[in-house]
Amino acid sequence: MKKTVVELAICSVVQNILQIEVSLETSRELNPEWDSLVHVEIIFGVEEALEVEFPRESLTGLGSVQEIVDEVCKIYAS
Amino acid sequence: MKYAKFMRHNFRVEGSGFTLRPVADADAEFIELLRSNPSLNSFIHRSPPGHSQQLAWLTAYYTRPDDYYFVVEDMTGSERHGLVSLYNLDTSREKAEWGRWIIAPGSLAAIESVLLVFRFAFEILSLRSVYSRTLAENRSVLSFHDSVGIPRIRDMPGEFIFGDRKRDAVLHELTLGGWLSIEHRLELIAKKTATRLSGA
Repeated sequence: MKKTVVELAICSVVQNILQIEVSLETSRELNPEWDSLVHVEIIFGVEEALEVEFPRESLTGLGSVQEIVDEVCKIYAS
Repeated sequence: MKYAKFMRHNFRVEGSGFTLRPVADADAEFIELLRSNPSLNSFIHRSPPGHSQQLAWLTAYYTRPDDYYFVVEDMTGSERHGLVSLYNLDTSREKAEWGRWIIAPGSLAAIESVLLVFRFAFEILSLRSVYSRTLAENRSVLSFHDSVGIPRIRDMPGEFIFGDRKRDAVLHELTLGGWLSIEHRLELIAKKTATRLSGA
């Protein structure tokens, strides 16, 4: 899957859950609405939409849309 | 069980991936470690410094009949993930406050710890409502309450005093009816998280 498609798909999932305009720069640090509950919903939502499974150590560590995109691309490449 | 006031309670609340169990003296160091972590303690009252002061605080806590302090740990009891409390139990109004909520960085226990403390309040103590007072500047936790679906009741100007400074808080309150409407969603997420943690 092309990276741009991955980016679009992930932005769409995050946007649906966060209900705000989302870009690759959207992050937990700058968006308090990206809280612990929303984070888990985003991670599980991306996993379901893109049919991937993040490694356990990544589940809490992915703090921005860009980091999620990078992690998904890493999984696809492996 | 209808609510009752216990001193040094012995309740355990088991979930899918995590358990709440009573705090004990052996947890003093863990409590101190979590509550003194600069990435976690910006929005909580400072813990008594030092091991002996922490033990003294726990000794006083054990005598309070309206206070239930829990350690959040994994199902095997081998790893502690955080702390949460239910306190200020008001038996006449059948309500209590929840707080002292602090979860170790990188842990996935946050959602289930909240599910379990509400389950304890509504299903074990049979309370009618549970409230929390969150520092207004703690935007991430305020958002968490909102995301969970706990109604925001009102702002509380100057509610807390930290050092010599008054700080505003926000009151959230969950009634039994509200609990019944959010429990299923929290449980689904907690179960999914537990499945992932177990590697199944």
